[in-house]
Amino acid sequence: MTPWYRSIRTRIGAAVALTSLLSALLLGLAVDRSIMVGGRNALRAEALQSLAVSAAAYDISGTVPSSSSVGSDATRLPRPLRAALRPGRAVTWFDGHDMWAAQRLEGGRVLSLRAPGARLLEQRASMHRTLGATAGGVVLFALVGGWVVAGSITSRLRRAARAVGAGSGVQDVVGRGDGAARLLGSGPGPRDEVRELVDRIDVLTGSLAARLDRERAFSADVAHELRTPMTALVSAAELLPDGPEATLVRRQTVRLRRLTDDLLELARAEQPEVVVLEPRDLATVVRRMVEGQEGVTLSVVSSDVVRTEPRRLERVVQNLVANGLRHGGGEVRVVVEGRTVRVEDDGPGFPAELLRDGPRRFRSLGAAPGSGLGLSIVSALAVGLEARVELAGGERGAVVTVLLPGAAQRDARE
Amino acid sequence: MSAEGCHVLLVEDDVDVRETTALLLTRHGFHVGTAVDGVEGERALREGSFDVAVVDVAMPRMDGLTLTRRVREWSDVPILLLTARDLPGDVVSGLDAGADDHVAKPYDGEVLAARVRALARRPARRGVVEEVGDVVVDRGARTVVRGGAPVSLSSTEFRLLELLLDHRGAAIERAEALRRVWGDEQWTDARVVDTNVKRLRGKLGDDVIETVRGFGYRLVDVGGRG
Repeated sequence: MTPWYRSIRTRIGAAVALTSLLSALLLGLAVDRSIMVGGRNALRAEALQSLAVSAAAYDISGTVPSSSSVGSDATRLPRPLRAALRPGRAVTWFDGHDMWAAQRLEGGRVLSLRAPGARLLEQRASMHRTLGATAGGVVLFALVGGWVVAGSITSRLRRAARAVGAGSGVQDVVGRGDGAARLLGSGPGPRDEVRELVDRIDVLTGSLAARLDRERAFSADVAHELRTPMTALVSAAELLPDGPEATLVRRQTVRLRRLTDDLLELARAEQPEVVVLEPRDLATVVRRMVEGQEGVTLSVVSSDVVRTEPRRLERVVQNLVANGLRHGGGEVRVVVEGRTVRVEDDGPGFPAELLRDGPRRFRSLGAAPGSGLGLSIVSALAVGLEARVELAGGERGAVVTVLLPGAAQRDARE
Repeated sequence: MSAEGCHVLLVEDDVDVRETTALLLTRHGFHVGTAVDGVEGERALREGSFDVAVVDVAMPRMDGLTLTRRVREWSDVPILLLTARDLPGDVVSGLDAGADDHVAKPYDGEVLAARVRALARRPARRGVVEEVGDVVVDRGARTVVRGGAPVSLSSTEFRLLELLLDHRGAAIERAEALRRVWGDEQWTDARVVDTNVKRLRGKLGDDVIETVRGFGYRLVDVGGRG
């Protein structure tokens, strides 16, 4: 499960928020500039007009309104203004707060005034506040909107991932072979890239399910076809007069028979059917299965009530025990703990490919001859039992753990 | 236990299976007649006199289930079906059709012979009407009457009752009941036998069937014909 800080959602949300923030900022800047330019122009016009009025008043009466001042000393004026003074022309300068206007009069005196720009600045500050608030709101909406849209994508992706079984393997999806592969469905929803991906996954699981079905049908057919010649062969071997040749033949027919029986059991186990699970005490059921068996020791660490079907569970345990006895050097330990049954042996353990890829038909484990079907049978049975089977073990021996659904739950594999 | 004088009809289409099985049964002391399919099998049963019929389910022209159904219309000769381990449906259908037992291929010769012998050992003439206490069972009409009032039994319950009647005097193992009544001892939970015995007791009376601890059940031997 992807943490929030790595999620696509966060990246999209952040990108959208950042973009809208930048847009808001740029917009703000543009508006600000426009206000300032316009405002300064208006202020300048106002200042020039006041200056003209003052000049006219001076011409007429020799005095100026209080807002202006006349003097021969231009040094009290700001330098940029002084620098711009030309005879016969009014000049202006904005010092950041107020607009200065000045003019060199006839006789060398300088008329100047200062028009306050407080109103402009107030206007600007007010606009900043408004824009700031709006931008904040926009960024928030953008973030939420982005989050929601991205969320719809990520939730569909996550749903698809969950449906595929996120790492538990193809077996989870196609295991039931009853059309469960089309879990992702072709339901309503936008026909976008996510949909494309989900549809492709559907096709893939569909073809995998079909492949598995063909494999199953094949081994069921093989078993079926083998049955008749095996029957004749087994009977014929029994009819042979006793002797070394007969013993050899009988030994081989036993092996062939075991293989055929396993194939038939596998075919049977893989038939899709509804298995009725009932609550049972795990230790009690397992004890009945293994007691008295040579080479098998049972220990109960703790026992829970599980939902299971005793016959199938017995086949699972017996197959695992037989595997253990055959490959594991003679002693098999069956351990019941809570809802799990563990079968351990002291043999060479499972080969790495088996641990990695899971059981495959006819892949015999290790050096000792076995049919190689035992684990496939156990897997098939586990599906019906809604149980989870885990293989582990290296040189210290093989361990197979079977986790059964509890009495209150629906599925142990969730 | 000897099988002398016991005539078995083997109906099987595959020549190798037919020959080896016939040889096997002969070795065990049976007189064996053979037929290659259902049609020949039906004719052989009509014309000959056999104590047990061993019938393969999958055959051309007429399969084992059809043969069983047809034969049951005029004979109650014990029928043992040869079934496939991976086709459990066949067994149940076979039992419903009227077969008495089944063995899955490939089978052990010993097991086959033992089951044939057991079927042959059944009383030569199955009484059409039998009594157990105040319960009267008419196997021909498939009806059960208790104290004058008719009792309705499911086909499974009836088969179980018939099995108990066949083994009258002896106890029947739960595993055998599973095989003969439900057709499946590997995949069915033995508790279904207990449940059905309880139902029978409910319908026929608590004292009709006796529990044999750790083994199975037996009909109480109180009155009635054996």
